Amino acid sequence: MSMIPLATLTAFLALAGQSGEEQTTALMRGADYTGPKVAAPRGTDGKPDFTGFWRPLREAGKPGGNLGKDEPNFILPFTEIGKRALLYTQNHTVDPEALCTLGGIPRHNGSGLPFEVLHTPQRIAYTYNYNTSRRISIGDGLKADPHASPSYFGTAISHWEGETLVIETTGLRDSVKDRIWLDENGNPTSDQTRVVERWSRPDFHHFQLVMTVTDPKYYSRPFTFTRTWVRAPKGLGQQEYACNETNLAAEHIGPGAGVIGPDGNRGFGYQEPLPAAPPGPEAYGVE
Amino acid sequence: MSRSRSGGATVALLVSLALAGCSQSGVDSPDATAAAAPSAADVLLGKPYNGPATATPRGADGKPLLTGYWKLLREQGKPDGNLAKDEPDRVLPYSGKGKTALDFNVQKTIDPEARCLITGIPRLLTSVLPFEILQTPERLGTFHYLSWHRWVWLDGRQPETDPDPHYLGNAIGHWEADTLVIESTGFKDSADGKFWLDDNANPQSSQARVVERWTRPDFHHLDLELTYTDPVYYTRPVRYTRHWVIGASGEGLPEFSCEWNTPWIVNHLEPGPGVIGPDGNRGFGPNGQVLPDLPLGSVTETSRGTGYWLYRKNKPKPSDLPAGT
Repeated sequence: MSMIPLATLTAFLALAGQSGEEQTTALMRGADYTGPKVAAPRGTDGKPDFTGFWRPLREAGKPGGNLGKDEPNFILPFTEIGKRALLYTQNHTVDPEALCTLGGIPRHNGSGLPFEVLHTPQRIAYTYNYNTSRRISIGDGLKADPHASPSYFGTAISHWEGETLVIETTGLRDSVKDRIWLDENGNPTSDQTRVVERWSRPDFHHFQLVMTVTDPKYYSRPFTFTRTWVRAPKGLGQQEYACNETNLAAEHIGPGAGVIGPDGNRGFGYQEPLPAAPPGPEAYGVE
Repeated sequence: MSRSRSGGATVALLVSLALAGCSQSGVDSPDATAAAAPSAADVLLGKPYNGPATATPRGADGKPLLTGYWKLLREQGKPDGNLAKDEPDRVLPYSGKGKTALDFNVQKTIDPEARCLITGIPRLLTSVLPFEILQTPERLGTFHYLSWHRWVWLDGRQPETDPDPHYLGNAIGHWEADTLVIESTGFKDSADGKFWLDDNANPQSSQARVVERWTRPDFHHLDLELTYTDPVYYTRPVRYTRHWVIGASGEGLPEFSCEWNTPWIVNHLEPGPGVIGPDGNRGFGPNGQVLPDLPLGSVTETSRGTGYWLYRKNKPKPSDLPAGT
């Protein structure tokens, strides 16, 4: 599967003096910035401006796409019904992202793919790889609509606490009724889930999240997920990604996330480099 | 569908438009149920703003900010979703190839939007539905009602010489005084069977060039002058203008999940846009109403768009139900 247009990839490879695997990894995954610290830009409201194209920093020895990355054995604290919900997602639901429906929250924060933020003083938008987005109002005293119907990105409001933007989301869909997963690994999420994201930009190059997920239905206690993203070089941004062009194959995709390895990762091992170039038709047996 | 039923739906729409007018002027509606469930016109359409003009908001760079939630000021007697809106007889100046491409779209292609393919430019800008803009100094995003969005670079870059073809094109904007000029090239082509110029299935070629000239003359208003140039399918450039009014505080795009993208759509939906009425509008139903019924989504889940496209194919829809049912 190509995650970026081949022409862009080729141009990027031509520019960088690295091996193909290193370059591909560099394009999709953030490489930490080690230069001099540059102050975070600020908006007209004096608050840090989160606008930018952000690539995730991987943590050595930790899985990507698994909200249990900081839990013992990378396994979330399921309730008994949560364990049953996990069995359900693994055996009955096709990965919603494979169907090109909305990935939702908190899943997108656990994704290994970059995202782009457009931030204005009253409104912030996160745009994700699969041509999906969420837009959230910013302000003191905002109230979430209690009558909103359940959705993939939920009902979200946000406010500033000092230099930190706090986004609170409720009104999410439930994995046993809908095609929504908590993360890439197919962990379940319920209609009781509450997600509190605390976003900060300590300097120009870094964007940090401390996220607490509380779901009393499927998990016995709240759990926290942290991640840092690095600002992509100026001039790079999210590109069109036509997710739905070939989804007629949806009925042939099996349910669940597939095998989760002992490293807590699904599919591609976390330590495995991505292929240097997207495989051609020969990889699928169709010349 | 009987005349009386479609006639009743027209009356219902007119009533709801009238009620919308009442609530805007501060007169309470006597109908409590109408107050509880706002009409499609209330939710989706802009209403003329007649208050005092408020200055255009500007960014730190002094340029106008187009950021906002924008609702269409619909032009009476003009169709939506039809790039020929301002053309004589509302017919685009097709070339020979263009006529062939139109026939192909009408006879052979399922509406790409019904398949949840990305709705492109300029089609997104012909929609009757509200949209949102977020503008930052180097990057602007337009966010549209059926969940699609596109990005525009404002960083002074030059267009690529050989851009990848996209549904949304490759958009680069620059300022000419207080006008934001967005130029897009590098589009997909209707010949692929997945890409329409507008809701009415007009064709668009990979050689198309779209120039949007956006202005915000005051706080409440947003204006677009669009020029569409496509030497493959049309004999001359096409001009298209539109006007929007700012939404009320607290209004914004709701989530909308495009989930009618099943094999069923491709295997069972008829190709083409369906009947286009003498007013140039593709129907939202047998009565040719101009707005979809709300909610756009399924019966119990307002954000899940499983039924919306049936309404656009001249199938029965909720407002066609006989009164009293």
